[in-house]
Parts: sequence; C-alpha cells; structure tokens
Amino acid sequence: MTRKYYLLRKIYRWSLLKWYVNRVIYSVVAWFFAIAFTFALIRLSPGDPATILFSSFRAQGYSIEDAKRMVQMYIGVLPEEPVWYSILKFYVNMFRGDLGVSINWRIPVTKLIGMMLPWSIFYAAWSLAWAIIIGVILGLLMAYYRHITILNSTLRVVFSVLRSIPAWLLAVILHIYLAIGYRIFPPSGAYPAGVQPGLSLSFIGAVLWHYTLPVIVLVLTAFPGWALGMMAMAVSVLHEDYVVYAKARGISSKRILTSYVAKNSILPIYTQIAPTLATLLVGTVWIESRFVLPGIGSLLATAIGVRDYSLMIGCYVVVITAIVFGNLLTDLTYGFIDPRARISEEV
Amino acid sequence: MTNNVLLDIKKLRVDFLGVPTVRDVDFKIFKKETLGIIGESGSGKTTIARAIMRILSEDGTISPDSSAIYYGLGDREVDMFKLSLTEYSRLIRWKETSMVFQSALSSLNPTLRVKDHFVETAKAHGLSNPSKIMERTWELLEAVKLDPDRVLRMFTVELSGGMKQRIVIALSLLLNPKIVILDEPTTALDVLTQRAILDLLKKLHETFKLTYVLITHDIALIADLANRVIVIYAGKIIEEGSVEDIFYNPLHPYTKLLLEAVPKLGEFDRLPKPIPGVSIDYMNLPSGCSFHPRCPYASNICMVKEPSLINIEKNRRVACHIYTGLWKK
Amino acid sequence: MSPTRTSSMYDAIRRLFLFFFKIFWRRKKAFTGFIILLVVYVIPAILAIAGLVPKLPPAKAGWENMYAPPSLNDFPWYIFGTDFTGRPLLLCLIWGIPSALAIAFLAGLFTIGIGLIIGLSAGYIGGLWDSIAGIIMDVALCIPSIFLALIFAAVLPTDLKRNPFIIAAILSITAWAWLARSARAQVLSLKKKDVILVAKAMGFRTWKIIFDDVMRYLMPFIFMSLIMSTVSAISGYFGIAFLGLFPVDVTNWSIQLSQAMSYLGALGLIRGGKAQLGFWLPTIMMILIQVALVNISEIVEELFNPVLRVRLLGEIEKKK
Repeated sequence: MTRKYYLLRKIYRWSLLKWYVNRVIYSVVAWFFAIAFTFALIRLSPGDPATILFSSFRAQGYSIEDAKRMVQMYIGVLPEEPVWYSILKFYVNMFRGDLGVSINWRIPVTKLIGMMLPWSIFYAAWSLAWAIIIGVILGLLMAYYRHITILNSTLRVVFSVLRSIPAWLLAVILHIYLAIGYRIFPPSGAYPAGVQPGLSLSFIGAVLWHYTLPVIVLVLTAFPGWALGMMAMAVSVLHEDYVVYAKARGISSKRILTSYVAKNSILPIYTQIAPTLATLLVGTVWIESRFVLPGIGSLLATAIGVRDYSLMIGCYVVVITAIVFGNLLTDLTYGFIDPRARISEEV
Repeated sequence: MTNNVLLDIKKLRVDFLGVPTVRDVDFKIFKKETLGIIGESGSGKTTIARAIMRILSEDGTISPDSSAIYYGLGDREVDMFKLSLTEYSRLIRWKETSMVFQSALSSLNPTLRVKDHFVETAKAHGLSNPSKIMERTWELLEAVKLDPDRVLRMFTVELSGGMKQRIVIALSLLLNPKIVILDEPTTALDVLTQRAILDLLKKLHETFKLTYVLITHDIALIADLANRVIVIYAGKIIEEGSVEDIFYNPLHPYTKLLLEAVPKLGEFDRLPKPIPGVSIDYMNLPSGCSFHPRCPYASNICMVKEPSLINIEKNRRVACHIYTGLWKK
Repeated sequence: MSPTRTSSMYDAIRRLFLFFFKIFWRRKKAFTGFIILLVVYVIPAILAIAGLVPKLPPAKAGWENMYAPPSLNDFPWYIFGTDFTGRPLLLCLIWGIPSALAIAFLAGLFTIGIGLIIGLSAGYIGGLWDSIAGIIMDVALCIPSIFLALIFAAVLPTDLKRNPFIIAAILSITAWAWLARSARAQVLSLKKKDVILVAKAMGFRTWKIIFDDVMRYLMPFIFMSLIMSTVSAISGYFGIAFLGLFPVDVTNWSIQLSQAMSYLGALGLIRGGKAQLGFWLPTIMMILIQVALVNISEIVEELFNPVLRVRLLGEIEKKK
C-alpha cells in the first residue's frame, strides 16, 4: 500500500508543478499583452508621443536626422515605424534594462524609477498592513457583537460615507485642514530638511511621522471594505456547525474567535490583498503629489504634468508589472494558506 | 427509583422568538439505559438535546419554570437549567454530558487537524499535560477503531464520513461523561458504515458504562439500540414506553402510523403508507390535539381539548383522548 | 417582482408603481438615496437644460469679487457667495450637474454594454473568439481603469477630450471586464445544461434564449455593475479633472475645488477663510452623489439577492 502511496505522491507533485508553470506562463502572456495593448493605443492615437516629440524637435530647428535620433533616444521608437515594430523594439529595450530617457530630467527612466519605487512600495505596503489589521479586527468584532444595534448602525453610516469619498479627495481635505491649516501634521516631504537619510533611528522616526497623515488617508479609504468583507464572512462562519460544536465542547470564546472564526474567514480575504494593493498603488499618484512624497506616484504625476512621455510609459510599465506579479504571487501561495485547496488537489 | 435516575427533566419549554415549540416535556433518564427519542423533522427532538447541552441559538429561550435535575454529581443534585453558563461549563459541560451532533460531517473545523480538536477540548477543561492528553486521545481513537498514527495529523477534508463519525464519538468520550446524546448518528452514512458505527456504539456503551440518549427518525435504529422510547410530535411527548411496548403494542395513532409507514422484510404485497397531512407550523398550531388533522381516529373532543400525558402503567404514558375516556368514534 | 399576465399594460404599470412605493415605504433609508439623487441632482439638471436657470454671468475681476461672502442679491444665486472668478457659486455648481451626470451614466452604460457584448458572445460563440476574448478580459482585469484613463487623458489632444463620449469611453476602458467574465460564465453554464440545444430544437431563436434565461440570472450583476461603474467613473472623472487633464471650466466641481484649495493653501485657513464655502460645496456635490448611488445599490442588492428579497417581501406581506 505504501508503494502506491509514494507513486501517487510523485504524480501529484508533477501535476502540481505543471499547474504552477502554467499559471506563470499565463501571467507573463497577460502582462505582455497589457503593455503592448496600451503602447499600441498610445502610438495609434492622435496624441502619439513619437510624432509630437518629432514635430517639436523639428520646430526647435533640429534637422530631420537629428530629430529622429533624439526621439529614438528618449522614447526608443521612431514616428514612422509600424506599431508592431515599435512594440517589439520597446520590449527588446526593456529586457536590456532600457526604458528610455526622461524628457524632463534627461536621466534614464530606469534610474529615476529605481530611486523612487522603494518609497511607494513602503508607503503602499505600510498602509495596507494597517488597513488589513484594523479592518479585520473591526470586522470580527462587528460580527461577534452584531446584536448591539447602535454600534452597527453608526459604523454602517461611517462606512458608507467613507466609501463615497475618493482617496484623492480625502487627501485634499485632510491635507488642507490638518497639515496646512492646523499644522498638526507635516505638510510635505518624506523627512524634514535637516535630517540625514540613513538607517538611523531618528531618520526612520522622521519618515514614519511624515508618512502618518498619508497613511491615514489610504487606511481610511481601504479599511471599510475589509471590515465589511470580514464581517460578512465571520457572520456566516459563526452559524456553521463546527462553531456550535465547539461551543458544545466548552471551547472558550477567545479561541473560537481566533482558531474558528478568524481562521476560516481569512481564506477568501487573502485573495483580496493583491487587488487592494493595486488600488492603493494607483491612488498614490494623487496622494504622493499632494503630500510631496518621493515615489512612483508623484513621479507619474509630474511626468503627466510636463508631458514627459517616456517617463509616463516607464511608470505605467512598472505599476502593471507590480499588479500582475501580485496576482500571480497570490495564486501560487494560496495553497499554503488553505489546506483544503492544497489537499483536494492531492485527493 | 431515585437511585437509578440520572437526569430528571420537568416542564421543559423552549420558545423561539416568542413562539413556543417544545412544550411541557418531562421525562427521566435512567443510569446505563439507552433512551430513544423518535419524531419527524421539526418535532423538537434536537431542540430538547440542545436545551440540555445549553447550546440553543440566540433566538431560543428556556422557560424559567423548566428544570433538569442532575443526580450524577455524587450526593449533590443540580438543576442544570438554573446554573449560569460559566457554572454549567465548569461542572457539567462535556464532563457529565456530551453530544454527538447530527452533522458530524461538518462538526470539525476545516482548518484544524484532528489532533488539535482533542487538544483544545482537553485544554478547555483544564487538562494541560500534553503527554496525558495524547495518551487519552490514543486510547479513545483506538477504542473507535481508528489508527491514531494516521488520523491525528489529518485535516477534515481528508477524512471519510465514517471516520469523521468515529472521531466525533471519540471526542464525546474525552472526559468520561455519564450521558452521551447521539443526534442522528448514522443518518448521513452509507449502509455498511452504519452497521459498523452501530456495533461500535454498542461496544462503547458496555466498555465505558455510558447512558445514551438516541435521537433519530430512523425506527430501525431505535429497535436495534434503544431499550426505552419516547415519541415526540409538535414539541410534546405523545407516547413513552419500553422498546417492546412501542413496537408490539403502540398506543398513540401517530406511533401506529409511524410503524406502518416502514416496510417490513417479506411484505411484498403492501405499498408503504405515508402519514397524510402537512408538517408542523409552530406559529399556527391546530387547536386541541396538534395531531388531529392527520389522525385517522380524530373525533370531536380531539379538535377542542389538548390531551395530557397520562400514566397507563409504570413508565408507560400516552397523550391521546382514546385513553382518557372522552373519545367517541 | 410579480408581473403576472394582465390584460392591460396600464394595469401592469400601475401595479409596478404600487410595488415600488411599498418597498420605499419599508426602506426609507434607500428612499433617501433616491430623493437626494432626484432633488439635488436630477431636477436641477433638468431645469438647467430646459433653460429655466440663468446662464453664467461673465467673470468679475478684482480681489473683493473672489469668494465674496453670501448675499441676498439676485436671489437665490448668491446664497453661497461667489467663486474664484466672481461668478455666483450656486449657479456654477448647478451648471456642472448635467455634464457630470451625463458622463457618469454614459460610462456606466459603456461598461455594461461592452461587458455584455463581449461576455455573452465569448460564451456563446466559443472557439477562437472565446480564447481571444478571454485573453482580452484577463488583460483588462489586470489594468486598473483609472490608471489607464489617466494615461490616455495625458496623451490625447484637447479637442478630442471635449467630447463627453470620448471621456466616458476613456473612463470605462477596462471597467467592463468584470461583467464580461460573469456574463461568459453564465452562458457557459447554460450551454452545459443543453438548454440552448433543446430550445433550438424546439424552434426558439437563439437570441431569445440568451435573453430570457441568461438575463434573468445576470440582472443583479448588471444593475450592480451599472451603479458601481458609475460611482467609479465619477470618482475617476473628477480625479483626473483635478489634475487639469480634461478641458473643463468653472462649472466643473473639481476645478472649483482645486482653485479653492490653492487659495486656502496660499493664504491659510484664517486669512483665506472665506474660500471655505468654495471648498466644501463642490466637495459635498461630489461626495453626495456617490453616497446616493451607493445607497441605491444597497436597495438594488436587497431586491436581487434572494435571501434578502424574501425577507423584504415577507415584511411587505405582513403589513397588509
């Protein structure tokens, strides 16, 4: 019997590997098309950056040859190329690490993004962590105490208002009133002027303080969704037979909340992390520019402001890559979280 | 008589959101017997079990007139309904009475292993020595004929129906209770597994000197396992007696119809006879005797006055006007 | 809902109205969503288009005309004072309603239109088209709608962006994917049931089959999708307008907000305090419509979700 068991395990491992590989390939294809599609649309649209840049260089007096060369350097494509050729050139350059040169700053795009991206990742991840913690705990409590009607109705009103305020609007309101008007929070910058960047405690402290209000903005936008989702899940779990059975056996409420309700409600919530992160990343465009924080959001916002096409496309590629990667990661790791998904593959 | 009584339930009444369901139920549970409670879906049998275990949902309330005197704690008698939930958990829950749920298949936490279920139950009742807990768990799993080595590490999704049922039975015995309530222990299983579980239950009854309360709608199960039977309809006891009395000499029309509805081996010429009528709506109970719309013997008195439970002989009761002298054809 | 076959259409319509009225009575909270939408947005918009609202007066230069305090001049247009151009604030806000509503609902319609067409056809026709549509859907699902809309707003020339249809199209560029996926799943599950095959054999035309069966299941998705995509379109529209990427004017609430914000930012809350009306009124206009729509979506959910609907209908029955 055991020999058959090991054989079955080997087969299962191989088919699991196939599924993993399949999923990765699928993601890569989706990523490829996402970028190609946008690139193509931009090139084909009346506002094609290559043509516009070319015309503006010509207007500045450059010869046709020089203008073409400059467009090539900045964006990496030429105006008269067929679109598919441009896309291929773009990808080839991308894999060589070349995303063009920023028209505004004349620095390679990859260098700019490399400097700014870590800040955005820190900001988004830090806010997401707080939003999840607050949302999940609140959701659990709302489910367990759902009979206290006052609590529930006030929270519902608060949530429906928060759902109706877009992140950028909240950023504007809080910034004007709390940062500029009443000066409770620092109005701009990731750290004050005098502090030296580095791994010192004072630097980290300064950064965290400067990010407090921006994090509050993102957390306020994100946590209601988490709380409501968690509450719905927890309420349905509370009615499950295994919870009643646990109560019959005398298991304490504390343990029921953690090992029974939370553990069983978390599973679908895990799949929500990547999409929420995507939304937060997109929101940073407005928030980072409002709070003058370094990051890919403010980079993109500035690029848009001065029509720096190469930087815009570069930022876009990076954000899309992050989103696709996040989704892929969720799918691949889901098996570790949910024993049912892992084992039912085997069974 | 009081020497033998383990649990004495009097005037049990359960309301759900104000609507009475279980009404005026009283019966005794004797030591080492197997009491069968039989009734159709919605008759209130699970409610009685949950009331005894004090796990009614928030919508259910036990009336303050009800009492459940438990004699199993040495020389003390305790009314289980009057204890606070914490007191109940400390004294009675799982230590004196435990329960095997109707849906053993969904009684286990899908994200915990089998081992965790045993450990957490033990810890919830103050046992903290890990080796002692493991010892006990092994003992129980072997008693229910499972291989502890294999089973302890498994998650619910890996277990078959029969295995889950055995685990839930093992869990019920963890603290050596005196009364084990079995709510439909074999309903969701295939026939072969049913047989195996039945045999197991009989063996455990002997080995651990248990008292069973068997709740089911399956008459064959009652015939096999129980020695005394209570028949429930619309939240009230309508007949009580030994298993032979009920089967060979049913008194209440409902019991008679119930027995006739089950086809017997060798009877090929007769079609099964279902009981006519609709099931119980507690918000719109019929006047008088709740069974009268479906009863072939119903007479005028049945529509007006509700029959009370009367003693025919020792431990033989019935609630039907045929036996009160008020019944006319 | 209970449309039994009655002989007269008039009767059916009357019954529908009575039904809706009963629902609103039981759920007054949702009623407020409709009321807000109607009173604050729809009616003023209709009045504006019908010409019952005066056109915007020309800008008035001068410091004292910027964010002048409320006055009773020329009632009621100056009750909120003026904006940064000296024009009456209330009037500017009202003139912003028609375009905001139009763009929002257009975006919503585009979303469900494209979603249904692609989803239903992918599921029904299958084969190569299904594979292609599948890839397109998955790509669209990875790209957040507002993000792509932002890029397009940055790249497209200004005169194209004046067209509300173009704006609505940009805002809904990847929003249709979710509905498409649900529609496709629905058609596929129906195909599996051989219902389509049997109906075809019986002589029903295929479009009728799709519409009757699939639509019945899809209705909740469609409504929710319509409302939620309208909500995100509004948020996206004003967000992008705030960055100055759409060619808009003083009637756009985002522009009003952005100007008031600069004013307050430059002068501070105390000296620039008079701009607060100009800050909060546009904000409230933007938020309130979202609140109303979210509110309506909750009642729509209650109508379509069978568990909740039974409870609601039960309450209506009991009232009788």
